[in-house]
Amino acid sequence: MTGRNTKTFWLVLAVAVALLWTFLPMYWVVKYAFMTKTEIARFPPMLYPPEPILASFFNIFGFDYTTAEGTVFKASGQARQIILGLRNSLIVAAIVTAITTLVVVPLSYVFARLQFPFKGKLLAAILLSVSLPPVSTLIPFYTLYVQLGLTGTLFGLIVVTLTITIPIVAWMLIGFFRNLPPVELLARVDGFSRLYTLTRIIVPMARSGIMVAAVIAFLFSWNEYVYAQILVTGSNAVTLPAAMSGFLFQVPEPAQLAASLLLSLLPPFCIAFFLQKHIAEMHIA
Amino acid sequence: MARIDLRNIVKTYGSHHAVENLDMTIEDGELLVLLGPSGCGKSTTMNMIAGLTEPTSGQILFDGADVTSHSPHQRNIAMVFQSSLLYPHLSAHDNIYMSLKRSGLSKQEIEARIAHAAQTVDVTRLLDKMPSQLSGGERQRVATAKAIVREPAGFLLDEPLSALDASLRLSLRAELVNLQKRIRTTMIFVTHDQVEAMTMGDRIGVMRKGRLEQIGTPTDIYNRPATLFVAGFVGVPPMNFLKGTLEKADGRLWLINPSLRMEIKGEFANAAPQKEVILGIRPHLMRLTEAGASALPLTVYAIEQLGNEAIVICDGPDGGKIRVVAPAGFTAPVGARLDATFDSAAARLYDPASEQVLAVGKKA
Repeated sequence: MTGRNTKTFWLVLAVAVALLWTFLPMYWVVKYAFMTKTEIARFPPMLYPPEPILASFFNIFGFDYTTAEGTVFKASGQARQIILGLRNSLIVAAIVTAITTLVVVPLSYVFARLQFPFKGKLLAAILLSVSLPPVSTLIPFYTLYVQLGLTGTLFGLIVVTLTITIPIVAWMLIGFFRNLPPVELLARVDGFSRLYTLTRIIVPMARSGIMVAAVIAFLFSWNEYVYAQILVTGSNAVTLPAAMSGFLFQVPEPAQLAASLLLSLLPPFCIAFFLQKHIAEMHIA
Repeated sequence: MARIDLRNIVKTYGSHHAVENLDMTIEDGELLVLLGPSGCGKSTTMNMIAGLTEPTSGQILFDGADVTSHSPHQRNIAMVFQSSLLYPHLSAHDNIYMSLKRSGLSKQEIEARIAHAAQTVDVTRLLDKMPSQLSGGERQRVATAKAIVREPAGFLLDEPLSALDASLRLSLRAELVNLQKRIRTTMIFVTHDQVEAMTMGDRIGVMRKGRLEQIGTPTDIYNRPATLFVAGFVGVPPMNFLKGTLEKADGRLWLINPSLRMEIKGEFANAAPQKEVILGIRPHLMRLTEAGASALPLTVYAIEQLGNEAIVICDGPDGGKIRVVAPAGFTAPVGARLDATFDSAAARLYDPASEQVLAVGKKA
């Protein structure tokens, strides 16, 4: 084998491992979502659903499903939680994304492009809050929320999620803004105010970066489980990850769990698909 | 177009003096080049003229009116930044348009001006392109169009050519000078490249460590450098320097150092004897000769063939390098002994302490 071939071999192997690592669990989930409980229980496990069936998707939304042969799959007891969770997750993610973007764009711009006292220390403070694992602030937040009556509320969940998204997205955007050419000089010569420069020149220029930042805020919020599990489970403010975890504490319904997992994968998947171009652009920038 | 006056301009950043007590006048319609090594304060000076940086003290006047506290836009200056900075997300046309967006002109007037500016620098066919689709030279032209479209009082350029390759730089240099003469605008050009400064400027202001060392025409700067720094910074190959002391003997003036005793002729009337001096002489004014009493003993270090002439780089008697221009094709082995002479009346004497010129050999 020549050196070039060896290199190709390792590259192919690495890609194969990465693909397997990513797609094997997803394949398993997809497979389960279209199988029945009895098919799943079979050993050795079946590699694909013999007759793909949509029963679980009906069940998790609270509908019974009757096959052509007359077998009835009963609606899931978790259905109410799943529907609520889906709704709440979308609301929380949308609001968190909007607020994060509105706060982080000016914040990162100021850190990236202006000089002011204690900039370095304040920047370090942002980094510090990125490096804190959410679990470490869980108990303080919980006791605080109990006293303020914020447990089980969407408002409370949004506030706590913002404490995760704002620092991490700011950290990312600061780097992005820093690499933009110094067009502020051009803008000053052209007679534009600072605000005009930020909103009408910098923001359009940084569209890709801001878009990716918003997506990251959305994904962090959408995937957030730890706080939701403690602060809103069982309440009307339950989110999808917290609602899904309910399956783990009941009579095993692996097909329904898989179906709801698939449901939760859908929005991030769509976003990634439609924003490919911007994500790639951001890497170039 | 405007005459620009700088009066006692000082700019300090904390304890660092970026510009010290600068007095300078740029005449209406003149192309002034600010030349100096990086960190000499030339860009700071330009930014203060532009209104991007506020001077710590002093006054800036445009046509006699104090504009020190005016914004760049109020001063009606145009500027081309390093690497011909453009808005990357806007087409060439829109980049030029941004210069007039705040001008209050009518839409038709703006479009007419853009068309005219684009034609002046020959970028009409590039107007729909994005900056990323333009070559370095095209970007430079679009940036120039963006600047002249405003019909500015002053046109400032901050090392716009430094990122371009040598041949392109050469043609753009001529293009800019030609443009400046055609539209007769006051232009200030900042560069660290002395060839660029010599070839472009009506006058050159040489700066070092926040001070204006000398201001004058390229010929002035080249032939009559006022300080040791200017003498060494301007000119290719650079000026040669010889250390020594001045002595009067037999009613004549001599430059003496351990390896040389040379009579200094010409009008060195102001030069006091016994004084430590540095003698400066251009390589073009030196000749390789037979060894002799007043000849300078040299050892060949390297030879650069330029086609029309050769530059012989030698180790001089006091350890410094001495360059002598020889006829094309001149060769000598490295380490060979050579002798050189020059007409001492063509030399200049500098004070090593103050670095100012002490005396000149002849009035030019």
